[in-house]
This record gives sequence, structure tokens and C-alpha cells, in this order.
Amino acid sequence: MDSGQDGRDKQRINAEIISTICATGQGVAKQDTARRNATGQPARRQKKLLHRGQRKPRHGCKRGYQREYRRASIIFCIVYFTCIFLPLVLILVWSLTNVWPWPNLLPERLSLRAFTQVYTSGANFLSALFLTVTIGIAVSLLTVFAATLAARALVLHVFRGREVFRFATILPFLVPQTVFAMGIQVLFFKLGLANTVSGVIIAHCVVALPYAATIMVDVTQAAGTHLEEQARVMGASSFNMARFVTLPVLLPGILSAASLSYIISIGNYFVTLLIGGGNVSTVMTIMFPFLASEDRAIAGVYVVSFLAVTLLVFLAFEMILGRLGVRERKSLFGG
Amino acid sequence: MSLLVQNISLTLGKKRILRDVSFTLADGEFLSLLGASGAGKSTTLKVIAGLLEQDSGHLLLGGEMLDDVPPYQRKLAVVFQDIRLFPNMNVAENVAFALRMQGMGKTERLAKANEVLELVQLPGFGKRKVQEISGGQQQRVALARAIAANPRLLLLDEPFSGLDESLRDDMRLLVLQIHRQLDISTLMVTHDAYEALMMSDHIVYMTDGCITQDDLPEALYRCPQSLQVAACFGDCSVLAGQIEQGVFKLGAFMAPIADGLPDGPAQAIVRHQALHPNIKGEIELPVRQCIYHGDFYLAEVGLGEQTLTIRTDSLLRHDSPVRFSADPKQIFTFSQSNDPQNR
Repeated sequence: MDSGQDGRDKQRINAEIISTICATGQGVAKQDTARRNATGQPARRQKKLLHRGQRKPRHGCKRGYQREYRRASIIFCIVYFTCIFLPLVLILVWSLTNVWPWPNLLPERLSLRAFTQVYTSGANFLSALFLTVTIGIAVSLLTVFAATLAARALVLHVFRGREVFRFATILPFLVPQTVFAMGIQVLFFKLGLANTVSGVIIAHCVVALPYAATIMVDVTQAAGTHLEEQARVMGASSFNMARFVTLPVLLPGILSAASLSYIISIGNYFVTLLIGGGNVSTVMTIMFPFLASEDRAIAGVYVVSFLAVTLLVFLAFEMILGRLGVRERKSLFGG
Repeated sequence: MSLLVQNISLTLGKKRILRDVSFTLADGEFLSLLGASGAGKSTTLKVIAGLLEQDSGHLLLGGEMLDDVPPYQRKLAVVFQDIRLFPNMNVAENVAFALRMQGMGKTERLAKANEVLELVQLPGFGKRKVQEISGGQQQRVALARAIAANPRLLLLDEPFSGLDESLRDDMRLLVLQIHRQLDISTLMVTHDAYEALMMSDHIVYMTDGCITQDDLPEALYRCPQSLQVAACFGDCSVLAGQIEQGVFKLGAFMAPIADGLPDGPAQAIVRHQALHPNIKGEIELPVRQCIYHGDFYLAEVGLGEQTLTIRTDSLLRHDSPVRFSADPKQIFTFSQSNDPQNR
């Protein structure tokens, strides 16, 4: 996720790197170019200037940086491939497997058996998928709303016990989820929220809130109140200030917090099971027994479908933001 | 529009930031609030803008009481030192922000924004991103944004201190030009005394939350009423000595004082221009060191443990004596017993 500040930082770093390159090897004329770069011109333009300014760049120095970047990206690719991509491919293969006895390296027979079984066995899976996504979206909206307001209170207002509240927002990190879910269950039984979808949504919010609050506190702190003050003196009412200045500035953080809350919600098994009590069946609660049992193909189908839907949700999210002009085009999850 | 600031006091936490601040900004005037950092200048500006609420006192803008008007309805504009352009909008949208808040339609406000951008010498910059333009250009955009909606009062909070020296002069001229062209009452906060002298019709000097002097630029320079005001222009030596029968004395240094201050301990601000090296000069002191400054040399001469600085035309050797005469008009003496703040 990127923000204007990050962009400016990147530009400054670029300018510094370029000016170092120039200053170490070039004459006075080149240093002048470097100085102009350091005044904050866009990075692309700086590179052009650099090429125009110096016919023979000192490749040794520049190559040194490039080599390190390349080495870092190779390491990243290897780690990514072994830890994320390979397991995903394996799951996809499992979902298409009919027979894969141990110790064969490759499955004996491939078929769509598991897919047919999952999708024709009634509306159970699809309804669970729909419920999972609904709960996820509700959780991310509620959590971000609460986290944004909490962060505002914790960062911008001075009140007695502020530090206690600040600590309280990250408290659920410290308590094991099992302990804390049982506490919630007891409370929800009394409130009549146990075994209901709304109960599950609230419980998920409690799980996701510390993460979202941590992100929002940092973003709110970084944003400060300067732009809001500027908007106020330019004639913006509180509503307009929030709409045109505060929310757009906080948006990168809001998006991170929302995505994270959504992922925490859809991936949660224990709290869903305990609070939902079997009445609320999400993909995780349906899938789990299959993972434990022998039929990995079925579990594979669940995982693949679940992944596809999650990706679709995020893609839709990005498209909506692109439409709103919040994100630049072609910057999926990057900006 | 004229601004009347009446007896403003403000305490933040347990610290009294402003004490009984009063001054008047006449219609179409350029007023500077001058003072060292922490003197309460920016706080005064924030009170006027409505970002801080005073504990007591009143603000009147063009006869209208501002005290209970929220900041967004005061129709003022502020340019802050740190520019504060909205990163989520392009240049034109930034400039048109106040017009948008007033409910002006898109085409109309963007046309107006481009008009104002031409006024600050940035034609055709409307569609650029604010991150893509240089610091000086950003400051111009901030200025354009401030004047786009015809504010009743323009407030500038150290608007040039983030800029390079070369850009600063250009910006000062641009601000003055816009101030005159639009005939807009302007209040500028600055700690740069020469900047205040150059730009203002009228200067208010603040020290520790109080107004020390409220005067024309010439009067502030020629007749400073306190040690801080006299010293704020720099290029001076501060000496602690004694007044004896109308003469300020410190070792071999003596200077007649203009007004009848009582005998006793006193401090004198001696501007560099006050001392003229002269073979027939009445004062002779040893040179401690001499530094090259381009058109002249600055010689530091010893006065016991204190130092006096003199401009000379040639390099003087260490420990060689220098003779000079003193011009009492450029020496400002303040009695310590009379002025408790100077202690």
C-alpha cells in the first residue's frame, strides 16, 4: 500500500542515490545536475537528466546496486516459490486427484470427482461460501470503522487513561485465542448472541480489531492534523473535511486494515465454531473435517474454490477503488 | 478588511502563551508579527484563524465579531510554513478547494484555479500532481490556493523559511505583488527581521507572549524600545556595562546615551555600523581575531570578557590595537533595573 508520503520518500531516496553516484565520480558540472535532482524532481526525470548529463556513467558503482537488488529479488522469488506457490500447486493437484497412493511421486489418476462431489451435493458448500464472504465483509467494515475512530481518539485526543486504552486495544494479541473465545462464548450465551451469525461477526471483529487498530494508529499518527487544519481554514465543515481530506489521507491504512480484517475473518475456524456452535457454517468449519479425514481431494476443492472467491472479492474491491479514482490504474495491491 | 485584535490571552496546559495581545491591522495593510521562536506569533495566528480558542479577548474582522465563528466560516486563508498541499488532489483541485467548499461548480472553479495559477506564475500546472513539483512551486500553489476564494484576510505563517535563499526573494516579491494587486489585508508571521522590514507597512514585535513594540518598520529599526527588538536585526554586539551620568561605560568603551536613563547596570546593543575605525578615534582596543566577509572584515575586539565587533576595510593582526569612534545613533542602551524582561 502506498501513500503520497511514501512516494515522496522514494523520490528523495532515489535523488540521494543518484546524487551520490554523480558526486563521487563526476566533475563540477555533474554535481550541478545532482543538486538539481535533489530539489525533488520526479525520479523518472532525474534518470533522464542523469543520462543527458553524463555520457559515461560509472558503471561499477551503479552495477553494485543492481547486483544487490537482483540477488535480493532472486532470494525473494525462491522463498515465495517454495513457501507459497508450491503448496498452492500441490493443493490444486490434490483437488484433481482421484487416486494418489503413498509413496508415488505423482498421482495415479486425475479426475474431476471431488469437484463434482462438492458442487452437486446440494447447496451446502455454496451457501457456506456466501456466508463466509458476507461475514468477512461485515467484519472488515465494522472493524475498520471502530479502529479508525479508536485510533483518532488515541492519537489526537488527550484524556485520562489514554495509555491504558491504547494498551487495551492490543490486549487480544496477548491472550491466547482459545482462552479468549471461551470468555466471549460465556458472555454471548448470556446476551443471546451465541449460535448466531451476528455473534460470529462480533467475535471476529474482536479478533481482528487489534490488528486493524495497530495499523490505523500508525497511519493516523503519520497523517497528523496539519492537513485537517488547512482544510478547516479553507472553509471545510467537519463533514467535508472528513470526506475530502481525512479519509483520502487515511485510505491506504484503511484498505490495509480492511483487507487484513477480511482475511482474519474468513480464515478463522476456532472462534467461528465456538460462537457459531454448528449453526453458522462457514467454509472453514465445513472444510476442517475433510482436512483431518482421508479425503484430501475434497479438502483441496474447498481450498481452491475458497481461494478463487477470495481473489475475486479483492479484485472487485480494487476495481471499485479504481473506478472511484482512489487507486491508479494497473496497480493491483500496489499503488 | 481591517482586523482588530483586542486583549487576547491564552493558556495552554499550564503555560501562558499569550498575554493581553492587542493590535490593529488596517484595511489593505501588510502587517508582520515579528519575534523569536516561542514568542507566541504562530499561536496568535492560529487564534485569528480559529484553530485555537482564546481564553479572553476579542477578534473583530471588518467590524464583525469573530469570537464564536468556527474556523471554516471565517473566510480567511492561511499559508503555513510546511505548505500542506492535499496529496490526494492535483494542483488545480488544491487551488480550487476553498471554492469547492463554497459550492462552486467544477468547470467554473477549475477555470478560476487556472486563472489564479497564472497570477502566481504557474500557468499550465493545473493537472500536475503536487508531489511532482518543486518546493518553490509547491509554495506558489499554496499561495494560489489561499487567494483563490478572495479571503477577507490572508495569514502567512513563516511562508518563506522552508525555501532556498534565492527562491525566497522571488517569493517575497510575488507575495507583495499579489498583496497590492488584490488589495488584500495580509498578516505575516516571521522571525526574520529584515524580511519584516522589507515587506511590511507595519510591524508588531512579540516577546514571551506580549507585544513589545507596535510600529512602522523605520521606527522599529531606528528606535527599538527593547533589547530584543534592538538585537533582532542581528549584526550587533550585546554589551553589559554601567550607565554613569548619561554615558554607557564598559572598560575603555564609552558611548553617550540619547535619553536620560538612570545610573546603574545597563545593556547596550552596538550595531556593527555604529563603530568606525579611525586613527583619531577616541577608543582603542586590542583585536582578538579578524574574519573575512567579502566586502569587509569583521574584527572582534576584547572588552574584558566581552567582545565587540567592528567592520574594517583591511585584515587586522591578532593583538594589534585598533582605534575607532562610535556613532551614538546606532547604539541602543537599556537600563536593567527599568526593564525586568532584559535581565
